[in-house]
Amino acid sequence: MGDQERLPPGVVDNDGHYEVDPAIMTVYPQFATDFEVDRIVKARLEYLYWVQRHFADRVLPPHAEEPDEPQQAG
Amino acid sequence: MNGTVTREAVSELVDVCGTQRVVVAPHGRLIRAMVPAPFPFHRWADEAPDVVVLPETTEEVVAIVKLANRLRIPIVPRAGATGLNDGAKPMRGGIVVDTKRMNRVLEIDTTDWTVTIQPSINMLKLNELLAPYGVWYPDDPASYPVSIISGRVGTGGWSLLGSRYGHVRDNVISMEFVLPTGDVVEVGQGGGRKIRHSSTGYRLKDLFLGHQGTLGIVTECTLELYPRPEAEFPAFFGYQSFEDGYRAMQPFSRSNLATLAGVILFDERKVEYLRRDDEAYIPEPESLRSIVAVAAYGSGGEVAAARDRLMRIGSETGGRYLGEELSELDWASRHDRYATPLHGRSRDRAVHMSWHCEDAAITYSQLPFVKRRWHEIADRYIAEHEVFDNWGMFFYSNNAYKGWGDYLVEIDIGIWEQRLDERSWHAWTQMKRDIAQVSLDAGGSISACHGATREGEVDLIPVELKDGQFDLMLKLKRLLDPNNIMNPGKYLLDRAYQEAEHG
Repeated sequence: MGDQERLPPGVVDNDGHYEVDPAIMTVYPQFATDFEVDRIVKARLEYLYWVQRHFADRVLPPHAEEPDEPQQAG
Repeated sequence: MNGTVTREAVSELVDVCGTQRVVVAPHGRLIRAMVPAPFPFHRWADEAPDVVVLPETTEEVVAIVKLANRLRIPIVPRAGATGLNDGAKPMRGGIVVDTKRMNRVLEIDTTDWTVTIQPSINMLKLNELLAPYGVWYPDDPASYPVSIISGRVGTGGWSLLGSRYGHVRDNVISMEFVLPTGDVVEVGQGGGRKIRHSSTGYRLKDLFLGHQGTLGIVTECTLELYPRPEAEFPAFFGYQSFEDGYRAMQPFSRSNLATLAGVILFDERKVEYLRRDDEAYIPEPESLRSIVAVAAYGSGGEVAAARDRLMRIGSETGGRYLGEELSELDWASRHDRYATPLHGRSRDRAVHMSWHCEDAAITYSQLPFVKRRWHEIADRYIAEHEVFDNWGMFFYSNNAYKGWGDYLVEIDIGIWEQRLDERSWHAWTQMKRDIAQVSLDAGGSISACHGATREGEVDLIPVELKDGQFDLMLKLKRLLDPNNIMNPGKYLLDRAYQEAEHG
């Protein structure tokens, strides 16, 4: 069996370098299951929130937060 | 292999570092010819070193450099190898000194607020170690999670937070450096390694920031510390046109806020790219044609006051605040652009592409000219070569400790690396040269942060450094590296030796 025949479906040998077959990348967006999309997005967001916490103790909202209870004068 | 290293030389290197830290196996050498910047695979092996060594101490580095100098073997220091201009890549084989094992923290000084390190530690890791002390080292390139401080010294790096905290040149206080002859020098602002400003003698430190491995190997750094920010406020504002966003940059930049860390303009092509290949996986509203992003860091009270002023400026300039989720998470993704999705468009197809980024330092007044010309150049090459894609432009505030003046300008080009043949590689280097020429035509600098050592723009170094500057570089190179062993071929510095030979 030749090397080309051993490659998994959708992978081509481009002068010794393996790449996704461009012929199957003409459709955009590529099909992905809801589970896959959910996993990718959740992982990225989790990472980005971690990055925020790494750079500062807290991130301020765009407007001053209202105090929980009205301040009593005097 | 280039065959510049004999079996006897390898044996001497083993005497210095031991067998475990001297690599001659093909995989270990080839992987050290690799950098993120796209490069034709068929040329890859041409730029592999003959041998790789992984020293752990200054004494070992000295012994390696002295051996290389005695035997006239090319020697290339390599840190994280995340640079985009091939500084860590040998052009003539020889020895690659992979410094990643020199990663110890030597002293955290919470009295004089410095940290002294072996320089091959990553900033993210360093800041995790510093966090319990309530301090941090705020150097923040787009490669923050993966780049290494000795590489940042080699490129004289730029920081996303530079308008608040300065850049590498501002925050490296002093360095221990092994020169190409094997001599060890301490360079800083003056005398003591923790002194921030001195008027004694020349400020030699700056000579070794941005040297791209051509002047020696940094073996120790003393760095500035800052209070860890209590608070951060990022805000993204959308505009209906590039011109609206461009005009809005000025009031943000001149807002007189000490906590302002950066102002960034995204052009319409960048917004389009983010819409189709989102780096943060957050949809951009369809009506937008440009974005201005700003961020403030500091104490809670200061950042709250800055937040109010920035929100007011956004409103007064016609900007549409894009919400907390987009502002926080897209800003977070700016710290880590090496996670960019890596797929682009060739004709009507989506294909896997590698990312490359061309940069320049340009004054505010010239940004529209450079934007127009760079896109014209990119589009011209894309029309002729299906391996390129235009991923848009960014404009980042570039001035240390202030948001105005000049800007780091970047154009991201997707490159279908697997298809890079001689013809398209030649086209790519010509595109880089054309882009660099526009930067010079605009009175700018070829590079604000990446360096200019790569094929293409390197040809224009003597043009930018005119009126004797490049000649002085040649003299300094020959003085410090008499045998041209340190990263030979870079920055056109070989001319120092050719001119000397010709009298």
